[in-house]
Amino acid sequence: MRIIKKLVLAIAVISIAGQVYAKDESFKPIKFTKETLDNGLQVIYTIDKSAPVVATVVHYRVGSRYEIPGKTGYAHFFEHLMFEATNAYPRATIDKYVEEAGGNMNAHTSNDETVFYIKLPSNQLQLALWIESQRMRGLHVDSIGVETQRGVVTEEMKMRRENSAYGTFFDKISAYLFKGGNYEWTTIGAYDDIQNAKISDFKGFYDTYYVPNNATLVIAGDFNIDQARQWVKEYFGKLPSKPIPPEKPMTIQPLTQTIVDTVYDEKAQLPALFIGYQGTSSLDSNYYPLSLLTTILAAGESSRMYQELVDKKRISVEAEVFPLSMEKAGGIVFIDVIAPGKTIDENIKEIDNLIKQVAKEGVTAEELQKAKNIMEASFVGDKKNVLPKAMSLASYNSYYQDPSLINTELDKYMKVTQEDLKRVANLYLKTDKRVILIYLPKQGS
Amino acid sequence: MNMRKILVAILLFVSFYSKGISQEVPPKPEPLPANQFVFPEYKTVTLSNGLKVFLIKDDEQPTIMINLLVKGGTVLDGKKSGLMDYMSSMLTKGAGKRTALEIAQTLDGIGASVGAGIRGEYMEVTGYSLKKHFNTMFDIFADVVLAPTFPSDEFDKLMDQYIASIKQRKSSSQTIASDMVKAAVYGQDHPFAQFMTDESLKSIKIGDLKDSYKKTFFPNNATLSVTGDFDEKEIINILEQKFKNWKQGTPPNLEPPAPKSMKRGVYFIPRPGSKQSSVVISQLTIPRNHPDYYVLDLTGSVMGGSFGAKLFRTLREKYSFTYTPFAYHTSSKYINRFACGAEVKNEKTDSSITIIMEQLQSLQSPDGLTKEDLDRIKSYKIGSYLMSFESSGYISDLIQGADFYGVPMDQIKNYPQIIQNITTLDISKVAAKYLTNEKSYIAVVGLPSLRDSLKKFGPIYEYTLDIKPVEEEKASKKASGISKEQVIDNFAKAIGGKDAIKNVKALKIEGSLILSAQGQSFNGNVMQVFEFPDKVHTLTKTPFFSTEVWIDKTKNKGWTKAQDSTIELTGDQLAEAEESTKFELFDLINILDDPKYKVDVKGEKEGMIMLKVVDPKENQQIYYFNKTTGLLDKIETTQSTPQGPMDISIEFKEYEDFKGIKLPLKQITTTPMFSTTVDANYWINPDLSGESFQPK
Repeated sequence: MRIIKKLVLAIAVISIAGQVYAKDESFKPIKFTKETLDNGLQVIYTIDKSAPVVATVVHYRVGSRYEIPGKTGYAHFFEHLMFEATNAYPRATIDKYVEEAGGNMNAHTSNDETVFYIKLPSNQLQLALWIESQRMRGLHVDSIGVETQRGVVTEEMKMRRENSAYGTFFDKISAYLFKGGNYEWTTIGAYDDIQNAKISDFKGFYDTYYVPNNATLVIAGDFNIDQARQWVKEYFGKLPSKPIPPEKPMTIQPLTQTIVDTVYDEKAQLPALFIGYQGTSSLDSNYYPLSLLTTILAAGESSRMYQELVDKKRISVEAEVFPLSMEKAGGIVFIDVIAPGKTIDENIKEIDNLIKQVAKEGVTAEELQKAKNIMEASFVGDKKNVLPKAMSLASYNSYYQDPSLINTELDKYMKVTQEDLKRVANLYLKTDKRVILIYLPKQGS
Repeated sequence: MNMRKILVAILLFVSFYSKGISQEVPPKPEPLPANQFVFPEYKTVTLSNGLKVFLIKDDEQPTIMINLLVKGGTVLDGKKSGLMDYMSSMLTKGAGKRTALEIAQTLDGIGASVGAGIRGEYMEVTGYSLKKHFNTMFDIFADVVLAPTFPSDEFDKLMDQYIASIKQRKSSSQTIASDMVKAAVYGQDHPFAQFMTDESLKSIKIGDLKDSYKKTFFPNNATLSVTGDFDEKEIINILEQKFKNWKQGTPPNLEPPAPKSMKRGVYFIPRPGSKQSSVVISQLTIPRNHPDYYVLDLTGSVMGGSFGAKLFRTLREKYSFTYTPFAYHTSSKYINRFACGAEVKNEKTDSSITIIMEQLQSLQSPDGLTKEDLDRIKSYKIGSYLMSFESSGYISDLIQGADFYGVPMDQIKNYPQIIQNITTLDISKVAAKYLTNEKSYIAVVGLPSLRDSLKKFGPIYEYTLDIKPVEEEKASKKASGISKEQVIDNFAKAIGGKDAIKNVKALKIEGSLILSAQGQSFNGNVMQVFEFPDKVHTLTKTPFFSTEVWIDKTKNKGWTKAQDSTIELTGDQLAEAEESTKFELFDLINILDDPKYKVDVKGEKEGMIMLKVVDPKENQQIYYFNKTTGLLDKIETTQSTPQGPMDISIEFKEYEDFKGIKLPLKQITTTPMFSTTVDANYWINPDLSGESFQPK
């Protein structure tokens, strides 16, 4: 009798545990298939029939870090040029093709990547694959396209840097935090470099990096996988591969003291502080505790910086953290917009106090749980809808060579302990080794 | 032998070359047949309190979204334009036992959200969370719906934000043009033509919010949708439990009065300094459930929905008059209108209107639109519709929307087919019925000089930026019967007389300054020393910045200092800064002597005589002189900024005597972004021995 009772109890416990698990799961895993073509193109398929939509993402392993001084801004330039003519269609047409089909398309560039996406109703997948295969190796790098985009890009440079308040902070903080490394310059590049570039320079860049063995193609949504495989083979199969030149290791000069720099800004209405620390790359194991730490310190209304500086002391109107982890290195930037009538010095003092406090005492269990909850809730964000899914799979494949991280990366956050947070606070947030950028409103008229 | 070798070489070369350049280029692919689209399953349940609930299962991921739609929107504002908007924004600012901050922090900590707002004709409260945190989120959601507290400190905070946001309204010509055309089409007093103003917002009290909440928030005036990964029985249980004490009420009448369109013509709002003209052309159409609705919907896309649309092909691609033409048909339950227009180059305003009218005209004949073009637009429209289904919120929007608008779900489900079936003939019929010249109202916001060029489109009715007829304004400004010479003369006498002012060789002003922006205020100081007519030294100090300017025209030099760095001014900057050696009030007495300035008496308003002054750069200012005292009360001017024209007003108050000269102790400057108040003291002909008019 006793044994049976025990068994019954045991079974009950297991089944309750099973239910609890099912009730508490935070996301449903994404299923996908990964294949590699002979020419090195990596292709990931993930089916999702919940809506009549399909998206393609082409992720090229090229960004501003692959450029050289004197020739910066090329990756971003190519983001624009890839919308120009190819062997298969004239310029100013792919926007129209995609729009007429009811879809949309766009692209972005960063230090480590250039990513293109096309999202269409599900019966139009072939159009997307045709476009992407054509521009991978059939782009016209000629004077019409180049000159048009040169104009567009220089306008964009002006707009971003000159037309918004604090527009130059990112350039400046990158130069300080990543001195000596190719992250020193920002994606948009130097005006002169783009003006002086010759077509042969651009063509060289295109032929080096826009090759199938340097790309991941993801197809996500409502489609037939056999049909898709056939089109992929037909359009991409014959594109020639080319070995990528080896990359030198990145050597960044560590900060040895506090650097202060002041900028006068016509567009700024209020003074602002940008405090930068050198951090970790996104591949480093310390990336996870550091992310949670900066969330607790400065992300959202529950954060310590917001509570102290904005809510209680009212010395700040906006307090945020700007995470800056890339493939090879990273930084942490705290942003503080000073409240009218308050001073820069008192803000720096308060922020330093918060950092010293967390280095000494760490965070509370409640804070850590909240930060984990936020991470968990956002983890489901890239698992609904085709585009976030495709983008994530492409990223995980490119940076970790492991797309299954889309389902497992959360574990790395969940394993972080209070000890880990205290440790990384001491390791990275050294108040005697940072950059302080001060932006002051420039009063003209 | 040689020939052969050469031939072979040539052949090889040709084949190699052609392979190099003309790799087989695959043709543009055709789409597969569109999926037989199947609208997702859902279930409708009515709770015991009368609340209709739609349950849409979606277990792709463990998340839940709930959405309450409450019937009633801006049409219930009455004279207090902004009331319903305000009330719905306040719902999450304190509910049940929680303050706004507690609500935000609790939701923040579980990665969830609860929001509330107005959507034109109805309001929505939306909650979202991971399934595992549903109970916490739903607790707050229920409080927001059942027990909002409308705390007064949050009310005040929000009022500052609303007041600041409507200041932005005047900086958008597009918004002003849209407001104008709505007044023309619906009638100025119609609920659909109202917009928030300073007055209407200030008339809103907390009691009004509570009343309007009570008048709309009850179960038989709302629907609820639940979308996501939930258990049906569990959810219905929870809803029944939480909402069991929610009592029914009498749903308010939401039908607006019939429109009283104004006279057909061109409604022109002159705006000096405009960088472009905002043009809108609009026509009254039909209610949502009218059989012509879908054809008009598609016609909106035909005119301006995408790259292939008529206005894009003409105004943008062919003529480059604009980058952003638009066209649409509204989707209100009771009254709708068609609208199209663009922001166009100043000098192409009348041409743009001609083109838009031509395009509308072309639609009225069946040949005006090819089947091919129509097919492309349909493909875009149906494609976009299908794409929207990715968002689970879209499905609940459609279902709750259909219920609100009284549209059968069949129509919603068959939307792609309905659009597909529309022919060019159908479009020509609705165009001929609703979009003719005679039915069109044109609104233009642009440079005053454009007025005459618009006469060919119809009678011109001029309005102000506040959508008030200029005729009305003129009526309140009687012809004052006073000449500009007299006005200036009176002014000169009032501030001390021309001779006394001539004897002022130097002037020192010191004052405290309060700068208010975005609900925050802070203090500072200003100091200004003039040595007439050539030198000035100005210092402005606030807790976080200070600027100093020195100008010495005798040396043709100027400097500016901000924080710690001093720069010498040159060129245009110096020329512009040199203007500041003049003291405006003294300069004004000589304004009629300068032929470069055009001065006219504009009329009388509220006890003040208005003098319009246009400077050599075509900038316009209105000077308001007090009819009784002769003193300058106010200046109104429009300044051209990179973001467009900005209206500035400067008021002068509390004139006091300083050694025979009357000067204002208070100067208040108001702009859309900020305002300043300066309390000043003056010294006439002070000792200037310590003043060098240059940086040390």
